[in-house]
Amino acid sequence: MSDILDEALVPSVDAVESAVGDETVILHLKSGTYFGLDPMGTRIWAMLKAGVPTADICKRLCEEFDVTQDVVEADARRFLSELKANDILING
Amino acid sequence: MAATTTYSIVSYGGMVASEPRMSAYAEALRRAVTPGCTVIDIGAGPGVFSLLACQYGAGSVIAIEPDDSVELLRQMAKDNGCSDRITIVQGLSTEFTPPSRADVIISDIRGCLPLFEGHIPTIIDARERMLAPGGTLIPARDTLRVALAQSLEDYASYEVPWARNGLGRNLAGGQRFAVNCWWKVKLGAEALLSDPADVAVLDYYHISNPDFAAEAELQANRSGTAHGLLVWFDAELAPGVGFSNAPGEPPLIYGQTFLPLQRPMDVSPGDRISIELTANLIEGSYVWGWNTSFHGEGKAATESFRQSTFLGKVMSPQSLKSRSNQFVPPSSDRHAVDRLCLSLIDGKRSLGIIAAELRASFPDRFESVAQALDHVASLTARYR
Repeated sequence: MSDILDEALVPSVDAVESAVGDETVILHLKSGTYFGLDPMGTRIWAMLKAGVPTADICKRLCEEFDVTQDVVEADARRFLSELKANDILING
Repeated sequence: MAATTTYSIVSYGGMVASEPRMSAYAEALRRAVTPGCTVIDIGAGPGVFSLLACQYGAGSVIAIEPDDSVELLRQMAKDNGCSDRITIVQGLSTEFTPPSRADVIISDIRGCLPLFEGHIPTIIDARERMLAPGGTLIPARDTLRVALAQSLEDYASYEVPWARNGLGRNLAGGQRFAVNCWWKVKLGAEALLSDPADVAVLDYYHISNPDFAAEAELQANRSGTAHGLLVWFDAELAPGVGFSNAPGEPPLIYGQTFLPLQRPMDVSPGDRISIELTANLIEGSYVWGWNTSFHGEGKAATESFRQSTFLGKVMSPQSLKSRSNQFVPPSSDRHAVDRLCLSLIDGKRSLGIIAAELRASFPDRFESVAQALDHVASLTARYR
């Protein structure tokens, strides 16, 4: 089974975002669904928008949030899978 | 239940007086009505279209309107001797099934643009469920047009309060929200910096999707400072009968929609502006998006903006989170009050009885039965 961390993912053009403080809410225009991102989700989202490869995102998060690679990867998989399942992220 | 905009009697008067809108609607209706035919008037308001349909020979008219303005319609039907031919339905057309399909369905539930609240879903529903085969829809189609506009006066409302207010305080934080909000304007032809581009034809006989997306390229035809995109619609009510909201035409009640640029852009003749326009109907309101890229003549894009009315809403992080799909709403006394209230609505108890039970169960929340009655009445009105 493929690992989502190995996939090239990019934000959908149907996703618009509004940042308030260190949190973000994304609205998917086609489904009308809102997604709330906490500070770590906001950081991942920023890296995805900047074109950082998915595989490199976890390494950077480990450094920035002082958490272990295993924890970051598990959180990132959940996060990316949910956004992809809802078409917020699409394969680039 | 879908929310609908309600209008004051002054607004309704403005619709009747708006020319050439009213005479075009009357002419389209006159052509469509045949002796004894059936007409459905959606969003009837005080019922002017219904009265005209009777005047032109309709055998029966169903006037559908959620607002209490139906009471005025009832009076005017009587005043015009049409009471026996007009059936008044207070509610939404999407929740009503007529006894038979109509020969003519007339409506004007647009806002500043046809992409407004439930307008398009309502027309689709009416066409599919209520229009007889070969029947007539009024309007037949609307064409959306967009052009580059210069309007320092209108842009000032986005800029001056936040960036140039003279108060000596830093209010700049408001501007990023303000420039993502549209504004109704009535500009003249002198405001245009480009020819208009057609971005959509909303053919009500065939439209099936309330959302909209289009791309266009505008070309500046004179030097100036672009402050925004101007969007308007031209209506075809029947073949050869319609009206235009274009700058330079007599201003109508609809006006035009001004989508401001993130910042003013100087343009020269020949400059190209690529635009992407989107409108998505979400929870009963449209979220507009307008992306613009400015290209000097023969050059790559010099500046690009991505704007959306979603970015024009100032919401607290908590409010934003409370709309996300992961949010778990906390239980509260307010929910308990409404739960009890709704559970007591059984088609037998009066508001007074429900209010008394509410007051007895939540004495800290309601100081009197009258206060509880006010709450119950407001809650039940949402389900009327």
